[in-house]
Order: sequence, then C-alpha cells, then structure tokens
Amino acid sequence: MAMKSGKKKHKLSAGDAVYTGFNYLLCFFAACITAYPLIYVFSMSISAPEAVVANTVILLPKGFSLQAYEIVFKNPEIWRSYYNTIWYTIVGTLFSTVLTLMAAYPLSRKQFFLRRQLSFFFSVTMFLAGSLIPMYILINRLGLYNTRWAIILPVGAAPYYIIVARTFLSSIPDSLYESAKIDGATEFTILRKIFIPLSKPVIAVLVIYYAVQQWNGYFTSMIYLPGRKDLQPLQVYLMKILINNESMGSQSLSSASQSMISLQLKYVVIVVALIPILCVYPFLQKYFIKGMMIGAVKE
Amino acid sequence: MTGSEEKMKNKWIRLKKNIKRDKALLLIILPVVVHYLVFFYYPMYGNIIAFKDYSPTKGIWGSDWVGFQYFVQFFRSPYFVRVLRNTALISVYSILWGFPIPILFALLTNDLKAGVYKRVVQAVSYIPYFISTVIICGMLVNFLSPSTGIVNMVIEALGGEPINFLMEPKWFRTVFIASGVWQGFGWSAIIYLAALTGVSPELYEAAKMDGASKIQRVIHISIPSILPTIVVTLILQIGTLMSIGYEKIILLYNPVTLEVADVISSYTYRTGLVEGNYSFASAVGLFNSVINLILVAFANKVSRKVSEVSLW
Repeated sequence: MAMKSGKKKHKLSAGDAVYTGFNYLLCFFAACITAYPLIYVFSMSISAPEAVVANTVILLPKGFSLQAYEIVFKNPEIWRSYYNTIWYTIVGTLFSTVLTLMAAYPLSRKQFFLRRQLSFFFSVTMFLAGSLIPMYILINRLGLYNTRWAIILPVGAAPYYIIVARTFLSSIPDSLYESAKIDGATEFTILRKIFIPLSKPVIAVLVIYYAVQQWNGYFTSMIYLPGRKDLQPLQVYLMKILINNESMGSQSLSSASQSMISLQLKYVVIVVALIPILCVYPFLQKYFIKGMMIGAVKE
Repeated sequence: MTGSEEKMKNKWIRLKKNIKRDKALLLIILPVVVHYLVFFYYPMYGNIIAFKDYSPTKGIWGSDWVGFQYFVQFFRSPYFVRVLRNTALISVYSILWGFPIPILFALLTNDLKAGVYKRVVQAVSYIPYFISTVIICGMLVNFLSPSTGIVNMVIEALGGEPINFLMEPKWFRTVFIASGVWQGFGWSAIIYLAALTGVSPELYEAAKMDGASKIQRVIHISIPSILPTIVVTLILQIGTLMSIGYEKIILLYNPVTLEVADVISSYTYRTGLVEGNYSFASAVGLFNSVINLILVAFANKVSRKVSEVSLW
C-alpha cells in the first residue's frame, strides 16, 4: 500500500496513459460481449410479446409481461424435468464425490504399497477411455438402459479429480496421521475424523465439478433414456424445445397467440435453466478456480 | 535354484505382510477399483468388437472375428477423408483463434488496477464456461435465425441480406469456433493470470525505475514470465488435435452442413447409435483413440523436453 501511494507521484507518461485507457476499453468490450447475450435473453423473456415478435428488443426489455413465464411454469414437463435434473445432480454428485475420496485417500498415504500401481491404474483411463459404443453395450447389458442409474453410475470418480484430491490430501501434515495411528485410530476413523474435515476446500471443488457436470449434461440422458420421458432431465427437454423446435404444448392458448408467444417461450426456458447456475455462481467461483489450480500442480 | 526360490518366498511373505498392514486402505479403495473395472476397463475391452461382427445375441466375446474388415471399410469410404479433414480443420482454427485470445485477455486484465472493475471483468468473463452446451446451441439457433434472430436483424438494419448461418456450410466453422471462443476465453485466461501473479512486483518496480513504459514492461517482463505456461498449454492442445467432441457438433449440424461439420466423433455417434452399425462405429472410435493417444504421447514428450512439464 505504501508503495502504491509512492507510485502515484510519478507522472503517467503519454504512452502509458494511452495504453491504460486502451486496456480499460478492451476489457470493457470483452465484458460487454460476454454479458450481452445473457442480458438480451433475459430482456426478451420479460418484454411484452408484441415487442418480441416485432423484434424491437435490443438490450433492455420493451414493455413488461410475465405471460410467457406463466405458460412455462404451468407446464408439467418443465417441473418434471427440473425435478429429474435436481435428482441427478444430488445423487450423482454424492456418489461421485464419495468415490473420488475413497480412491484419493489411500493413494495419498505414502506407505500404501499399491500406491504407484493403482495411481497408474486410474490415470491411464484418461488417455485410453473406452469409446462410445462399448459403453452403450455395457449399459444395455447391465440392465441400466432406461433407468436413472445409467446417468449416475458411469460417471463415477473422474481420474483427473482423483489426482486433484490425492494431491490435496498428501499436503495434510503426516504428523496428524502418525499421532492418530499411535492413538490406535483405524484408517476409517482417521479418514472420517481428521481428513474429511480438513479437506473441505477440495471437497467443495469436487462437489461443484460433479454438480455442474450433472446439471449441464444432456448426451448420456439422450442416449440412455430415450423411452422414459418421465426420467429425462431439463437439458434434454431444452434440446427438444430449443434445437428440435418442438412446441411446448400449451392447449390453453389459441393458435394465433401461441405462435406469437412461442418464440418468447424459448427465451424463458433459457432463463429458467440458467438462473440456478447464475445464482450460485458468484459464491462458488473461487472454488472452480481453486480446482483448476490444484490440478495444475503436478506431483 | 534355491536363491531364486528364496527370493520368491520372500516376495510372497512381503506381499502378505503388506496386505495385512494396508488392509483398511485396500478395503477403502476396493469399491473404486471395481467401479473402474466395470465402467472404464470393460468398455476398453469392449473395443474388440471393432474386429468382430458384433451381434447382441452372441455378445462381445461370442461374436465372430472379422479382422480389419471394418477399418478397411472406413479407410476406403469417402467419409474417411471428410471427417479427418473436418476434425483437423476445426481444431486448427480453434487453436488459431482460441489460443491467443485468452493470453491477450490475461495480459490485459493483469494490468488493471486491483479493485471492483477488475473483479467484475474477470467474474463476467468466466460465466459462459458454466453454461450448458444445449443452452449455448439454443442461443445460437435463436440469435442466428434468419427470420427472428438478432444477428440478422442487425445485418438487415445495416442494409445487408439476411444470412441463414446454420444452413450454410461456409458459416459452420465460424459459428462453432466463435461461440467456443466466447464460452472459453475467460476461463482459459485463469492459468495465465495465475502465472502472472507469481511474478515478483520488484521486477516491475525496477523496470519502472529504469524508465520502461507499460508496454515495455508487458513485453519484457509479463510475456517472458508466462512463456513456459504458453508453450506447455499449446503443446498439450496439440495433443487433443483430433478429439473434437460430438456434444456440440450434433446439436448444430444438419444434413446440409454435414460436409463441413461431421467430425470423427459425431460420425461414430451417427453410424453407431443412430444407424446401429456397432462394429463399424467401434472401429472408427478405436481409430480415433489410437490417433489421440499418439498425439498426446508426442505432445507429452515434446513438453517434457522443452519445459520439464509432462502429464506422466
């Protein structure tokens, strides 16, 4: 801080002033480009339907109407697919996080005699993953096809995140482990009572990674749950509405007003799907970055 | 004789002792090992159907061997060159655009004064990374629509003719790559920003004393200090040159743009899961995996040589 006030006394040279101004401008431009589509989608979703159809919305909402939101919220399929997405996110995240820690903890113990071999066993799959078709056959043969478990089980513990968690757990001082051992604690107790509480930062990283993956994924649900509309998550429903152009089937409207509002409905479903991510994002941002940084450290 | 026998015996005793000592750790890790055997290693083994005529009733092992028949069929088909070319072109252009922009953005934001403005710019730039592929593609379809999309509205307002972006082959790569850059540039900048925060402030101070301008400081201090990161990131990207995923491709392509949009992975998906040619698609997928592995191994070797950073 003291340095900073010292700096102020130097006069900014003309070149530096131009550079700084240019810099601020470019960053502003970058932020605008990133934010604009999101603002536009939101504005379209709450504008008056006439303005949406006439295409007069540029940045801020024109008029105000929640009619499209009403239609979307009355649609049972939205609720059902929302419920499914939440189910997959909670169950899948729990399953994957627990599995990741169960792999990472033994690998972080220096005396564990299979440490090297098993590290290799896990990380090799990053480069030799079984391809799409054998996986599809496997899901069918296990009887998981058209069940919820086809979405949860194949994800499991991602090899990259096993390494991330292992790196973190290795950094916990050995003295804690040793003294607990001397006191006669079992590995399970040590893991539960000492390592899990100390690993909150890395657990947050894992939880967020798996949760985002489950929340955003559409492909596995599309190929493994084709016959079970009642199990499909939000992203598959969005794909039908936004990409395949299926109508949302609101019988209560006349066909004229339906065609008028169908465009706006698309913007509403985008907002409805984005809101949870945008709401939790500011609080979780630092954990995403942390996850990336821990992973970048090679053991 | 007795020497080697004794050695074996010793090894066996040691193993037993190890297992006994690490029993609890083994128990903890066992479920994950089983999970990996089923969901990672079994599909790896399942790749052998690329060499067989897979029939669901006979199963993976019971199906008849056909050798390299499906590989030959793929190499001889006109699709071989097409998907290879498309994959390579999309990758190369993605690197050409997607690689320098995050570096530039990191250098720029690094020079912003710490404070609200800097934090907001950074936070906003990461957001798109967390938006799902379906929503990204949904926004593209809506924004680029020739009748109702905002992009064409602007084009028309400027006196141009509306363009049906998603139905014109020459626009596919631009749309695909530009949206990819939009989604990833902020996030990709993080790794460079981390490298930049590691630079000692004294270096900048000393340069300033010597009368270096801001741009000179960027060129002579900032860029050299992130150069190792740049090199490694670039090399590792080359390792993924032939692995464009199908998720975004299959949402954006259509029969008209297939000729430029179809990549190896989307071709695997279409021939395998849509048309049901399991063995043929597996051959394509396996071919792709082998190429990827070679590229990664090569990239890793180069990376280790130039920077001592490597994946394994």
